[in-house]
Amino acid sequence: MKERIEELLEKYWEGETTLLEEKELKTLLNSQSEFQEEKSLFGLLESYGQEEPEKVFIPKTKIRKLDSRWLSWAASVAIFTASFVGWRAYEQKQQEQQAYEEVMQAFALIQSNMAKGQEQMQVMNEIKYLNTTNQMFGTVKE
Amino acid sequence: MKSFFETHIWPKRSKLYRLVYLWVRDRALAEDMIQNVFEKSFQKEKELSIHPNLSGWLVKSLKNEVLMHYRSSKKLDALDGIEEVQADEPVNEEVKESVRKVMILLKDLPLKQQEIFQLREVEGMTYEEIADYLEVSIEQVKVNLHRARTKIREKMIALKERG
Repeated sequence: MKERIEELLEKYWEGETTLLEEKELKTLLNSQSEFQEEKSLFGLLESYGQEEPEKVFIPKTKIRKLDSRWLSWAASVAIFTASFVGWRAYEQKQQEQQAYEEVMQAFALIQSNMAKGQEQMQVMNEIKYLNTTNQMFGTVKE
Repeated sequence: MKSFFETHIWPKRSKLYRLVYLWVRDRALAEDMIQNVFEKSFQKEKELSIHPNLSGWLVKSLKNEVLMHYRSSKKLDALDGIEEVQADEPVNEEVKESVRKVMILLKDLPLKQQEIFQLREVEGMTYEEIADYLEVSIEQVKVNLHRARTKIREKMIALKERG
């Protein structure tokens, strides 16, 4: 077995071993008390191979990059739309106000004409104090 | 259903982490770099799902991330590579003895040899896998692995003689 190890080691240092032979070599070395240096070298390398990253994690979400050019376009369109809508709302309010005033003015006109008409009717009111038609027309002599 | 990221990229994190660690020798920094590249690859899932060499892309992105980090912190000029800042020993004190020893063992090797040595000896990858990973030819992998092993052997002999 020792010869096999020496043969494999020679091949190893020459860089001519296959992965399989390297595996065989390491297994064989484990059962040997000699070859301390080689054993400790392979032991070190194996131990280093167990080093793992600890603070690495799977990225969670895809970060969507907002194109600032489009963002400014979108912002200006939004501002334009908002001011247009606002202006329209204001206009509408103004129109409603105007219509209301016009209607109120019309009512006021009707009201004052009605008042004038009622004044004319005042005369008729006095008629009720006359008790008969004769009195009214003075056809009966007293 | 699991996403492409979870099935194809996430399982690569340990090997990638150790490779970045080899470059920066700083756990926290290596983790940051991995996280940054993971965020980017998560955004590009669709594009990457048809990429012919996903590992190669990830390694290249990580190397760029590390270079950018060093350049923005003024540790590197635009033309320098990672070799210029690679620390001999781990930056953070709290590190396993084995990790420290491996880093010291590798420190005098050119970066390419360190990378290939690590991918072969620690990760147990084939020549083809290493070639894809680092985007070099298989011939390059073989030559550099041979050189790296020769140097490590010399180091071991020197250590042995010193006792």
